[in-house]
Amino acid sequence: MSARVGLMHTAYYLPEKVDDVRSWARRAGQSAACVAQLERVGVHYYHDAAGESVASMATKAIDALIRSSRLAPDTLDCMVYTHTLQGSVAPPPMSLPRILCDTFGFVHADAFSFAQQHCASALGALRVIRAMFVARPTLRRVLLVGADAMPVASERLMDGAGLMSDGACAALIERDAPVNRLLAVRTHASGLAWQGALGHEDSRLAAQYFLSARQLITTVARDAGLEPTTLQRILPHHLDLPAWHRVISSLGISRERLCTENFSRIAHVSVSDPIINLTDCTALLPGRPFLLFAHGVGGFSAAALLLR
Amino acid sequence: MSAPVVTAVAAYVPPAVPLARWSQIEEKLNATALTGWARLVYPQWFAAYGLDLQQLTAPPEDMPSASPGAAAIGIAVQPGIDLVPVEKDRDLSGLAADILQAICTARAPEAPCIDVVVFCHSSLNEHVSTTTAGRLRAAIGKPCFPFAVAQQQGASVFTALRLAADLLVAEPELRAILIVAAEKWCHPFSRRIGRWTLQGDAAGAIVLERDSPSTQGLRLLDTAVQPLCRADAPFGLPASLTDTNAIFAPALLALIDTLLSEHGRRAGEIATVIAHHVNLPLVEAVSRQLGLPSERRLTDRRAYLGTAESIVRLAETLDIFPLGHGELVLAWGIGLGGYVSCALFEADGTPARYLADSAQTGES
Repeated sequence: MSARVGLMHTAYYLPEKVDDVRSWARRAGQSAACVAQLERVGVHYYHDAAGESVASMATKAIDALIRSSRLAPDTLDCMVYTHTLQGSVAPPPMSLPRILCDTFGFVHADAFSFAQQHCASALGALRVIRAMFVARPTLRRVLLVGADAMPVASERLMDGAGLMSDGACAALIERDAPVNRLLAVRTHASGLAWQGALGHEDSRLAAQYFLSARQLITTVARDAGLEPTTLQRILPHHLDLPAWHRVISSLGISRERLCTENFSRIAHVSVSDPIINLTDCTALLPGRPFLLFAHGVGGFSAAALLLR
Repeated sequence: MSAPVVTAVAAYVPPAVPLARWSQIEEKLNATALTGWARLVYPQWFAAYGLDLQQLTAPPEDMPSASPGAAAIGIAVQPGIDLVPVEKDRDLSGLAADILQAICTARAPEAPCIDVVVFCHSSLNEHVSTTTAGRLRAAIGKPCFPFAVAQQQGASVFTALRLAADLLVAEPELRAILIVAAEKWCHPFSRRIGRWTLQGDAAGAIVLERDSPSTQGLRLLDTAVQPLCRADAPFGLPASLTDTNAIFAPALLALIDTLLSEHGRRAGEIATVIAHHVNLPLVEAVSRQLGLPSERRLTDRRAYLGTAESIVRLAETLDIFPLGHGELVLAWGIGLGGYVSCALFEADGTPARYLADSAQTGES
């Protein structure tokens, strides 16, 4: 079953403080080899919340979306809040989604968090949101929000694949949206590395991520009745740029279609990368498909295929 | 589209510690300095929401001037709680993984495969980078769609039920959806919320399948979850049992009334109620004002089990009170952060069950 829904408006917020990889490495006690590896995978700068709360960042992203979309707060039906880190919500027994709804006057909106797919959570949530639209004919508008801040500098390192940045995003998903229509969404979960830092990351997992990304893109394109080569742009998460080039190449897609502009500029903004790229990619051609992709530690991946 | 059916239920409640004993343990825990990630992060995290550690571990009326014994007496008298299930061996993801294994064992070998796993929780994972949803995927051992629904505390399970029903409508190839709810409270997160509730550890799981002529269990007729408006419930930690229940009870009553009306049902038709035992006065207030039956309702003095409460009490109720064909079950619950929720089921056979309940319960 299907419903015609699309990401009608998107917005994001990045904290003002920008730091570079080399100064981060000095403060975090990391080696020159670590810096070289990060630069090799495409990272040069990242944004640091510097004590700004996740609630504040999420508020600013939603505020930016409301200003650009002119959303009437009392017309929102639901807010789905996504995040990677445990501290990116309100401590129990409080509820950040409810606080955000009240802040913005979303008086008719249900609100909950969708998480534990780590950085794939925002795109993973699209699968649930699509189901909500299909099953609930009266549902008109859902706000997808994502936010994270890494409070410990030394923990920003994502193995050799990237550096975690801070920020927030918001996407307004509407029924009968004329742009960014969701054609297909696919998720993958391996269950590997669920322990996170408590486990031992297996070097073989990197190869599995590569294979799962390739498989997922192929499958989601097939779901939409398309070939991967017809995708006008790939809007990825900002991890391991060389691996992305290999994935794109193996699918027969030219490099220029991979959105790489934000890898160096902002690093990996957890759940927000694909939405940030969608917001920044103003040159997408109408009527042609493009892809959002995200990967989360713990063996999670999600791909969403949209029509501009 | 036909309603999904709860075909299996599993529950685990660890051995309970008497409240007086728990108060002594809690006092020692509160004197323990935070280490590692908690020391680095928690004070700023709490401060961002206007909380502080002292407030969490010792609510205002229980500040150090009150002895542990006095605190225990206060909470026992008001909310009617004096047993605290405390899990000593497993962490949160371990509780969730074990109840998953238990429910999979309780199901028939030919039962449909689990395609989606929803994890509900209020308490934190054992580590900031751990994903319990990922562990549940590993425990299933086959491809599935695992994720967590949270930030609604006890109401999360009701949202999970609704999302499960949505997914079964939207994705015809899905066969069965597993909802796992677990709580494991660790210092510095307090089991006590003011004097109006006390939280225990537990795990529960239910399986929803598509309805078919051969499917036996509880048909999920509808689910509703609603946030409270700020005017009624500010975001700070609730302090007074009377005030808090005065907020939750009317919202619950209105939500239940609406749900029943939408299905052309009356409270008098309900055979069994699965209530959140946040505290006894709230349970009694809702039951009395709706005129819900008091027979076939579990009563005990066990601590509130958060997201696991509804599933654990459903398993316990089914174990004691067999349901006849067509009988109605009303489940209601709250989210401590400001949510009310309810669900209506209709019996059409009995779900497969697994129950490992070490805490004392009794019938009324």
